[in-house]
Amino acid sequence: MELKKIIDNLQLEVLNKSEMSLSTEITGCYIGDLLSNVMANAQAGDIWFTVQTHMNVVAVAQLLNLGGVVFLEGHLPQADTIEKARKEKLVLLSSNDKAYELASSLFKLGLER
Amino acid sequence: MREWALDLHIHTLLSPCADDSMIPSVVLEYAKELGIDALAITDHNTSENVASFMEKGKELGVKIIPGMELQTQEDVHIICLFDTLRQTNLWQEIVYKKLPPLKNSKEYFGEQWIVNKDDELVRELDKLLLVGTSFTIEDAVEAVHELKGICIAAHVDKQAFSLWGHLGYIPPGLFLDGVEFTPFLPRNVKQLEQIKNEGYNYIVSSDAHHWDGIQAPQCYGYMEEINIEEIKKALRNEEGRYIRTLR
Repeated sequence: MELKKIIDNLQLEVLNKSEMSLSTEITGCYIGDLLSNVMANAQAGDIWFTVQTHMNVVAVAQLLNLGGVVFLEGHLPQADTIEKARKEKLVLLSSNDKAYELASSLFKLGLER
Repeated sequence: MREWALDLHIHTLLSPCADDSMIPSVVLEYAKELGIDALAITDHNTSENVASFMEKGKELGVKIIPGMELQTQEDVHIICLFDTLRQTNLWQEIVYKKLPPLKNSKEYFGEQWIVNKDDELVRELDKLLLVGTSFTIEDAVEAVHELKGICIAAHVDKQAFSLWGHLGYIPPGLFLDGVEFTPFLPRNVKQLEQIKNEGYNYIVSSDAHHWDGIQAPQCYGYMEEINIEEIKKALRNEEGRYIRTLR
C-alpha cells in the first residue's frame, strides 16, 4: 500500500515535507517505544508507530529499512531529529491519535500485517 | 595508589521502591562489614537523604559519594555523581523543576522518607519521584557536566529504564563518563564489545533497594583517592588508574 494513501486516510502530518517521496510501499505496521525491541522485531517496509522521539529513532528506522515513522499522541521530535531524517530521506509523520485508533484504521484500509 | 571497593548505586528509604531498612546505620554498617570503601547514594530524582548518609559515613569510616539516579524524558536512568553536597543540592534544585507537578501515591509506589543520620524519620517527601523528568538524556549529561559531576548510564544490561533497552544503543555524541552493569545478569558479549568500541568502560553496582541487596565488592577503582576526578580518570584508564570488576 502506498504511503501517500495511508497519510491521507489517517490524516497524518508530514514533518519533513521537502524532497520526500511519499510513494514508498508499506507492507506492514509495527508499534513500540523500546528501541532494542523494535530493532529485534520490526520488519522492512513497516510503518512504525511510537511515542519515542529520541534521535536514535531515525537510525533504527534506517537500519531496518522501515517505510516511515509516525509519532503518536502529539509527541514531536526535536528539530535536529527532523533534520537528520530529512538527510536520510526517512519520512517522519505525526498524529494526535493513539496507536490503537491508527492501527484500526490501517486494518480497515486493508493492511493486515 | 590502591584499589578501592566501590558501589556507586544504592537507594535509601527515600526511593519509594526501596525497603524501610535502607537507613544510614543499617546500610553503612553492612557496607563496612562487606569491605566497601565508598558508596554512592542515588535515589530516584532526589538527593535529600545524601546529607544524613554523609554524616553517618564519616562516623563509621565509609566514604559517601553524593548522587542521584535521574530518570530522563526517554525513561532512561542515569547515575549522576558529585564531589560535594553543595553541587548535589544545586543539581537537585534543577531536577525538581523538571519533575511534573504530581504527588506520590504511596499505596501504589511506596513511601518516601527523609531520614536523619541517627535513623529517625524526619518527614515524607510528597513529590512523585518515580517518573521521567523533562530532561532529554543529552541535556541532562550536559547539565551534570556543567556542575562538574559525572554521568553513568545505569544497568544497561536490563531492558527496563535502561539506555540500551530504550534507545537501542549509545547515541553518538552523548558524552557519558561510563556505563553500569548489574551483578547478576549474564554478560551479553556483543553488547560488551560494542560498548568497548564506543570507548566506554563499565562499573558494576548493586542498585540495592534492600539491605541484603548490597553486594560484597564487585567493582574496584585503582586510584589515588576516592573523588570524582579520580573516578573519571579510572573510567578512562588515565595515569595508571583503572576500574576492575569481578566479571
